[in-house]
Amino acid sequence: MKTRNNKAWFLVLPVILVVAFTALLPLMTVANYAIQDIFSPDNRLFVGMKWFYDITNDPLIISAFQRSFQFSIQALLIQIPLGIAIARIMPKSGWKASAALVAVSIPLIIPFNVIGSTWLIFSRKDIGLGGYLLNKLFDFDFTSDPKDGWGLILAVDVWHWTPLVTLLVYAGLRSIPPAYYQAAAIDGASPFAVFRYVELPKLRRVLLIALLLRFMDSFMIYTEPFVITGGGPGDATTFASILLTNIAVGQFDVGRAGAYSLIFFIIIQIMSFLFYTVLTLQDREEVTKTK
Amino acid sequence: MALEARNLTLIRNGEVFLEDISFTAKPGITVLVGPTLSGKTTLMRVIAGLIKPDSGSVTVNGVDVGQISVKDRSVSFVYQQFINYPSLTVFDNIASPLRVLKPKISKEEITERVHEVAKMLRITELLDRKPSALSGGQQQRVAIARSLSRSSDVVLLDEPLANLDFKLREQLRDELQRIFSDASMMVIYSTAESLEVLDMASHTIVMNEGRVQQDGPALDMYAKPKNIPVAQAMSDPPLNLIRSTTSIGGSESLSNALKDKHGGVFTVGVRPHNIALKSQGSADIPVSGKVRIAEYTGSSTYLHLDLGDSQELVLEVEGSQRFDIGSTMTVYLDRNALFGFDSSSGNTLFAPSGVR
Amino acid sequence: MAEIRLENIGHSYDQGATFALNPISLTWKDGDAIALLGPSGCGKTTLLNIISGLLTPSVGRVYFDGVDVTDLDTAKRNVAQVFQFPVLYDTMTVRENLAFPLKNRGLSKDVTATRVEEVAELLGITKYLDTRPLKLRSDLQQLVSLGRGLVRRDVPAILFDEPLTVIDQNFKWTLRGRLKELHNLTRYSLVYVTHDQTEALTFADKVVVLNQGNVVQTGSAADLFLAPEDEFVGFFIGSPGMNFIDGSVNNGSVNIGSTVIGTTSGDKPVANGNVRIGIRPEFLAVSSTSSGVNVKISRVEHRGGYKLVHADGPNGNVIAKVDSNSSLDAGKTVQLTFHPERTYIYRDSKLCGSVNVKGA
Repeated sequence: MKTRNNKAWFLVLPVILVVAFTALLPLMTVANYAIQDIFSPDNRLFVGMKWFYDITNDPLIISAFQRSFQFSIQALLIQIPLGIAIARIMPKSGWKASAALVAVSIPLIIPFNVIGSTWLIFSRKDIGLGGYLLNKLFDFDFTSDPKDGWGLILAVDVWHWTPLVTLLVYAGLRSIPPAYYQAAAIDGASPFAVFRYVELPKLRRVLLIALLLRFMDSFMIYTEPFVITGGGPGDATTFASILLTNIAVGQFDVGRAGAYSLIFFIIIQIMSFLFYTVLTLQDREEVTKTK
Repeated sequence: MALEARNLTLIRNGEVFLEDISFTAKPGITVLVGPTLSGKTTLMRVIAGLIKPDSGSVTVNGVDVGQISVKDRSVSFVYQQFINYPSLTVFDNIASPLRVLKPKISKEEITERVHEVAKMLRITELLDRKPSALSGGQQQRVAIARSLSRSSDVVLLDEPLANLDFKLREQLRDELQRIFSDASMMVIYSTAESLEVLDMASHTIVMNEGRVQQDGPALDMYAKPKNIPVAQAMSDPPLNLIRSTTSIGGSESLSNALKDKHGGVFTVGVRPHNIALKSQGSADIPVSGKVRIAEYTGSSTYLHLDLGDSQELVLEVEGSQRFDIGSTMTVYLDRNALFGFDSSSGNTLFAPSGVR
Repeated sequence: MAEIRLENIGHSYDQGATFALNPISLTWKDGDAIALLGPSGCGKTTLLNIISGLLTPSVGRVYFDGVDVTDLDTAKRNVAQVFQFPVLYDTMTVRENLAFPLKNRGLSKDVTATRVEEVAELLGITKYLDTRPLKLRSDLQQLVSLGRGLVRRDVPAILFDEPLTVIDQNFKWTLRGRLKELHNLTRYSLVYVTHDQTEALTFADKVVVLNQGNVVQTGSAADLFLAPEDEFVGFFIGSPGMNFIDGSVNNGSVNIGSTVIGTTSGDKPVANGNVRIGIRPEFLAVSSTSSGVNVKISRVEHRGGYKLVHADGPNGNVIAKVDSNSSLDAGKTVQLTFHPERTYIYRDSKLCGSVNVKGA
């Protein structure tokens, strides 16, 4: 059946132009840079795959990626269970539910660099409330102790993004028909059994979204470490994106940075694809039913 | 005036939703009947233009509707879930399709038309209420009224009564018949209930697994179904199906008794009300079994007999009669009311003459 | 299994402004199959939830075998419930689903395994034991849902909340038959809520008809069908429901219009005045004799095994059930013939007598 609704395509045109301008063109440009060695705008040398080879063997870059992975995994291991736990104890209806939702959402609406600056001051051992108290408990100094620096950035990410997981899981929980809880009560299921056999299975899709979003974002984390630790102390919090900006903007090694960007991009694509495939495996299995 | 569907096919992810569907709908009611997942809803969505088929076309009065954008088509849709605009009053709900018409019609005309339709559906007193303040049946009437206000060429009703109470369904079915027998509209009404089909007594299309199984007057399909799925779609209670090798006493089997109708081994079909407790004459075929359960509806009793070899027979007898569970008894099949079906393809080999 | 006694049970969702269920007392013997039948909003689901413990009644007490369970929550009452849609643990196999309630109560693996096999056998789902329930057809899924209730022996009652809602037409019959058979075999106390009169009547020993929060009549399928005490029961039971024709009683003579159809009969005399004659389509015949109540046929519906003749009666549509090979057509004028034993007199919606049909 032919449909004569070509007019609709014109509505999409502005979006295409914007996306082309802000995403496709830069991507093409980066790809272009990635195969050249650029000393200055008029001094370029085609080097083919040299940068890619260099990067995969560069210990600094490899350890930056390793740090990003470790950070992501630790962040996920904390945020997902914590988000679920908070969602489960939030009120289900009435004004209390609205109040809880607002309270939980606050970290999400603060601009990233404001979060960075706030935590920066809060964590200083001399003038920061948190930093001072922590320092009294044990020797806390995120400017000199790598573990403290790492821990702080992790804490900031958890504070900032757990609410997203909470909101997604909260919505998912509300969509479970009460009959399932009633049946579980009738079956004498313990609260843990209810969580494991009723809630978790029904939350699978929501958790997939939460996992994907949080993995991508935490892997690419930039603003908070930049503002709070600057990548330090030493290179304790020099994540992949921090190192990339140092190379591109600091050293103006645009060619190498271009290749680095592309590799970064590909890693994220692969991880997302893996997550998605594994977690939707069960959905595909369920398609065939007995008659 | 006619709606013609030609070779509609729709396959998604290897699953066949529609396969080579072709039919013609004339003004009046055309009923689509079939079990869930037979393709009824998909077909209606294709006719409405909400889904594009992989191949095939739908023409209304000769015009291929695929060429017209959805909002310009003269189609109304009523859903199973009584969909109304929750923030508008009943009046505004019914008026909404009229307000977007081009060329514009006057406010007075809109009001007149809304009242006309509300009267038809008997909801005039509800015009200033919001849908949430109405009962299920009332909400569905509003949805139906909205579908009628524009006098579209095609009105599609997708199992509109499925979410309503048994008794409400009975009442509305009657009313809908009267309302939709207007000669200027082509109404396509889908249902999974055979009783609704016979009630509507109109052009019927039986669907199963994405295909049109049979197309014609409802009674024809009841009396002369092409195959088992059609027979079952039209039978409530379900048609009894037993092997012709079933013994009927001594060394005789049904196959012997029905040699004159068809040779060999096949599947015999008989409706519960065509089996009697006492022999009605020489045309009867006796079958014995053990009483499993008896169900009472007040007006009749459904007796379930276990024939052994995982076969069962259900008969409908008048009134409430007591039976001893577990006792063996003989019942009589009316030979002139029997169907024969091919055991592998399910196609009809022979059917009773007349409506039985 | 237990005797269920409801003492003055009533419930209001708005602190007494309106009662969804008006106070009612009911007693059901151990092993009864009861159906709560009525249109949406009649209070049947409220009543079921009070029995299961999901709702605490505004007034009244609930007793299982003489024990007051009104303040016990659902889990403590130990009832089993089957919902409108199959409620299953997706991540477990059918076997694990059935074993779940027993595992939670700490029964040994052997006892659990035996019980599961027994119940699966009873329900006819043994071959599906190691499948994931999502792969099964909806009626089989409901059986698994039911199975979880049957594995526990100490259940006082099994409650069904419109369980055939998502089941296909043909499988409704098989599932209903299976439930009835199960009841005959196990004699569990069953309470079944529905708005479908066929379901209620075929399933239950006793049907409780509810309307607008009140119990209108309780009885067997035959009682409700043959002798409805209230016009609502006459209307609600039977498809189509009872005909109600305007008439009058004058010194023992029952008239429709100017035609005398018979005399009053019954325990109590029927006072003079306007009444409604109630007669079911199954008991109303139409014939072409020359005298009687004349009506014109407006429509003849072929229902396959029978036909429904619609005629214009004195106060609206009158329906008669006739044989499928009847030759009556729309437009013909015929006379109504009343069944000698099934013609009733109603006043203010209540049964007040029956008609001794003339010439019968």
